[in-house]
Amino acid sequence: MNNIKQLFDSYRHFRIESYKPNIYQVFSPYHYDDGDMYIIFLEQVDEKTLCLRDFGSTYMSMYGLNNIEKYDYAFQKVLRAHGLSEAESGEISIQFDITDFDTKLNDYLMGITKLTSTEYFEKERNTNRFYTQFNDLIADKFQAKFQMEAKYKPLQGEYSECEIPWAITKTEKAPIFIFPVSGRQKLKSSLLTLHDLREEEFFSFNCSVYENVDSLDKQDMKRANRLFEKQINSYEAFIEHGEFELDRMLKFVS
Amino acid sequence: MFDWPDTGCELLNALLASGKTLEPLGRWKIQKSSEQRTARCIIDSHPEIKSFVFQRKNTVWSDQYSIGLAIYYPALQKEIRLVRFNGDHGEHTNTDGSNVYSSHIHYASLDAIRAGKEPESNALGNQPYQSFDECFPFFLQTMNIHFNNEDNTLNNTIQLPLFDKGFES
Repeated sequence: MNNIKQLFDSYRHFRIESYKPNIYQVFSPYHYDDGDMYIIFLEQVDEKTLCLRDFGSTYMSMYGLNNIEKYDYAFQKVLRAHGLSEAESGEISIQFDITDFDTKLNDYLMGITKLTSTEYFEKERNTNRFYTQFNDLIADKFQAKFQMEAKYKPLQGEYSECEIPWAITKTEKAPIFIFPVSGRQKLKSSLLTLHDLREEEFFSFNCSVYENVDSLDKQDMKRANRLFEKQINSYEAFIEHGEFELDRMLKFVS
Repeated sequence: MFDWPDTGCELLNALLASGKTLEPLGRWKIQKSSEQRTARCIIDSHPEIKSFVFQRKNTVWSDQYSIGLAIYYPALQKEIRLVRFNGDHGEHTNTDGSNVYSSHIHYASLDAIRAGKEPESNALGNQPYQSFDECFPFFLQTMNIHFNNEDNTLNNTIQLPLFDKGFES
């Protein structure tokens, strides 16, 4: 215990208290957004090795993020940058030689600080990570099987700028068009595309996949109900049932 | 009767003053991820605003748990937590710089919002509950919420380990 306490001698605002055999809670001047102190434990693995860990408390403190899995891409970047590892359970830890204590403590605190900066991740989310994830999903799972084309342009002449995010064109009766929709603006532009197709009397089976249907305008949704043949209310539902739904749509148009 | 400070939060004040018993509209939805279990149950729902009770419990560290009441604005995708009952996970610092220890209750306040912090950044310390099991009935009583016995808590779904999981791994 004394050896461990000595490590904090140069950290005036830190202190440790014994929690379990070989495990100490670190009381630091670092706080989450809500004023609670960072929850950090220091474990003495052996004489020369220490481990800073959080027992999953960091992710637990992120109340601002309802669907924490969405941010995994950004989280992994932060963890890699600071040499932290994440267990399958969600625990964030860093194991190190006792001589590296100062550097690793700073790395750990920096990593936790970045992870818990919820606004930062909200910003990341608002840069339409949804579309990147959606396109990755299509490319990985569905593109080869359903022969899907990205940025398909079905019309010529006056409406040649009309572009479909994803299309299945090798069908007998009509192509299937897939529109990922994250916000109001995207819904409006998708509806305008469908309007153009109708103007040109272009017949297609149209499907929208919403990131979150609750955030969309009711009037726009009324138009969407009229113009889309199929609507999938959440990205999670598309991950789960997308293959089944695409198969089903294909049956309609073959 | 619990002695609430003047929070300046109109929603919380209205809720506390209403004396209305809130019944759950659905069952708990339980999410299992990381070292924790999370459950939510909607208690009031309108197209513009939904209220729900939430519970979070760390499955390794028994002092780390939260039970609270929050509101959600679907159009804005914005969630505001009105109250949150926490265990003794360490110190908490209020917006005025004062510290609280032991079990504490976070509450939404105008002071915190004005200070640019999370709405529930202020907390009342030294609460009478010592565990998740004691906290939940205290929360229900304080917030005037009624749940059926057979459908009330995360405790029905897990058994907390005391010294085993997580320490040998």
